[in-house]
Amino acid sequence: MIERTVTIKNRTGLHTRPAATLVKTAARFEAEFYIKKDSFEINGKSIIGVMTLAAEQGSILQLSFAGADETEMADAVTQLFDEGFGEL
Amino acid sequence: MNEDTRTEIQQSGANWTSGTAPGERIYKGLPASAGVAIGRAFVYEREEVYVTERILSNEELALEMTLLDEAIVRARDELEKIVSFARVKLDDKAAQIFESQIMMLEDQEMLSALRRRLQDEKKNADFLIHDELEKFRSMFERASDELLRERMADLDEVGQRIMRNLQKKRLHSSVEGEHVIIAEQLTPSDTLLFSRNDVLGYATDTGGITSHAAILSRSLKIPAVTGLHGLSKQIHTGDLVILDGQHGLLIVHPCEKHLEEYRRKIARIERLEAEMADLVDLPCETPDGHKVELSANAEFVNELEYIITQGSKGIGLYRTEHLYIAKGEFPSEQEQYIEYSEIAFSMYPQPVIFRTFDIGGDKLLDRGVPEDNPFLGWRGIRMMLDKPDIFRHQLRAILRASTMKNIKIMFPMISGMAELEEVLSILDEVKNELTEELVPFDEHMEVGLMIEVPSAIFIADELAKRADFFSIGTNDLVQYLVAVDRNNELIADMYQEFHPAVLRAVKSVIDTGHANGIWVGMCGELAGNPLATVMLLGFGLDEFSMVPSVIPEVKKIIRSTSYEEAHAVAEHVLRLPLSTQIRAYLEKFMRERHPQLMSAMLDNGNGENDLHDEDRSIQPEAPPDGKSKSNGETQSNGETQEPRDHE
Repeated sequence: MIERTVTIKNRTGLHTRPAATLVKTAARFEAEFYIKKDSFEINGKSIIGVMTLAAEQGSILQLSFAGADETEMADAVTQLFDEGFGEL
Repeated sequence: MNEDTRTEIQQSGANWTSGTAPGERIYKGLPASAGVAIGRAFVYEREEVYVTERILSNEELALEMTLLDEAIVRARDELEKIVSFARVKLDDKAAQIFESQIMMLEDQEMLSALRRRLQDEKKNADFLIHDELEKFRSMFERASDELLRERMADLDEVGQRIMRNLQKKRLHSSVEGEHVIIAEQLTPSDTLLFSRNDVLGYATDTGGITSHAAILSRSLKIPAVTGLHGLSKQIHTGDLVILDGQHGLLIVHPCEKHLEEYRRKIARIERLEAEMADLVDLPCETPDGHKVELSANAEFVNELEYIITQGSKGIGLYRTEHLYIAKGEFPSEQEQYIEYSEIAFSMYPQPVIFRTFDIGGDKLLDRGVPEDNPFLGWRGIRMMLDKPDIFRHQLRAILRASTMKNIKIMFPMISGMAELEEVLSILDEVKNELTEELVPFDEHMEVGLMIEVPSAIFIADELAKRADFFSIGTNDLVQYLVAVDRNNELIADMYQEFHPAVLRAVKSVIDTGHANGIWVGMCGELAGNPLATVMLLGFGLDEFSMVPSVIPEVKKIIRSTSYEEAHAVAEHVLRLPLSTQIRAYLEKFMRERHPQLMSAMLDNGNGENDLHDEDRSIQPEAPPDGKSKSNGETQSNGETQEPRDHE
């Protein structure tokens, strides 16, 4: 399992468009993907879950990836956060 | 509506006010999408999907699984049609709203929870969907962010769509003829699909201005007003209504006077739109390449969309006092932070200049001690320095909202260096506090000073060394420089924005700012007076901040006047000793160069409107003698917004 910590940089937080981008990206991989914010954890492949995170700009999230392609997935997903979902 | 019901409503806290004619009712809601419409109401009632809980037999259970899968497929087909319609009619951005609904529909987490519960609990699928939605609703409602809470509306629509398909009902999302649609609430797809017919506008009981339905109405350019609590139960299909999406008004059974007024307004909007449409996206630049910024004065979050559509390059003055005035007490740091971040976020990447609380003078703080000279008294920055806790809360809130780096701050009523140093040292302390708390903020946030007290003009060179910009507040400046109380009718005609002393002071502040390497803006009424535009351009003013409705006109003037010519006009103005000569000279220049604009200005100066005082497409041409606030052209019926332009 791989764990990463990311901060939400883009101004809109995980609103509709970034949430959709995140889930679409995650869907390309086999590994399981969970996002934890504070004590609340959701499935990163579920758009409804990602929306319920209510993650706003500046939120710190713990990501965990588990499965055959976990490394590639972790890199792809972390990159999205780093680039602020193309909204920076 | 008969007399009895009317009394009843009024007693129960009426959500409308009586108009000027018998039967006329005026509702005030939130302006969700700009534009004006006159037409018949169509009350749209969504067919409710009712759900009852049942326990299924084993045979029924197998069937229910299949039915659920089929319902999802049908729901998906419907949504895909909507996506492609959105793409054709609007753009990818609108289509994304519905694409994300498809993703919600196919959400594996939700579907597997549903299938598991179906298996375990053996209950009907539509009940389980309803139950799951309620779980999500409670989660969304924890969110402090209004935008997120409104996304529940999308999830609801998806859930309703599956339930409706489970019950094999068809959706009737269509209306006939030209109507103003009245509904308790509209979903994003209602908003889009109704537009296939000749919809004039939308008026809803609930829904925020950031909802997807509101966003879609704006993209569709359909006027919309929301937050009209209870309206849909009080109005009938066929009632004549006026919908004013700019001010958030709905007038039922309008009187002839209002009808005439709004007909004229519609004609004017159409005329101007045709003329200005091309202007919005063009840079504000003279033909010889001199660029200036046009920004808007604002004080409410719901003005932002309109500001953006007027082609503003940001907000040059965001007044924060309304937070105090609305509450009757100073708002908390968190309340302020929420509002300031929303504004920063909505305007991003355009800049927003927040002015710290300017209370006192005519913006009274009720503390029971009348002052002999309130305008020379405890107001603006003076009061803040005496209330350091409140001041610090505001500074913290503004700094915390600055992380996107599009916020600037400015201080009102600065009159001397000692005062400025005190303000800056508090700002530094607050920044250090935030740094220690690891709270992010923009360390390079620009700090500006309002130049409105005459003493500031003469030490502008010193002030400029400690600031990033100046913003000239002409309303107070005129009042202080000429020593005239504009609210005193005996001498109100002495309030002259074109007084040579005022204009020389403006020119001197701009020159001093530039000599010290900072930019200079103006946020008083003069900045939005088309008659002054060429002169101010020639003075070298860098930023003009004004009521949003005048931005297109001012831009038009700037785009058709060379900087060289403006410079010559400015030079000439500075040589004239009388304000009457200055006005006459500028009027002559404008009549020759912009005859249409000038006649429109005169046309609009007549104050035809009694609902609100700020809807003119042209600034009510801060009249020669500044009597605009006392000549009875504002006023009415309780719906009037306060005149905003007190800078």
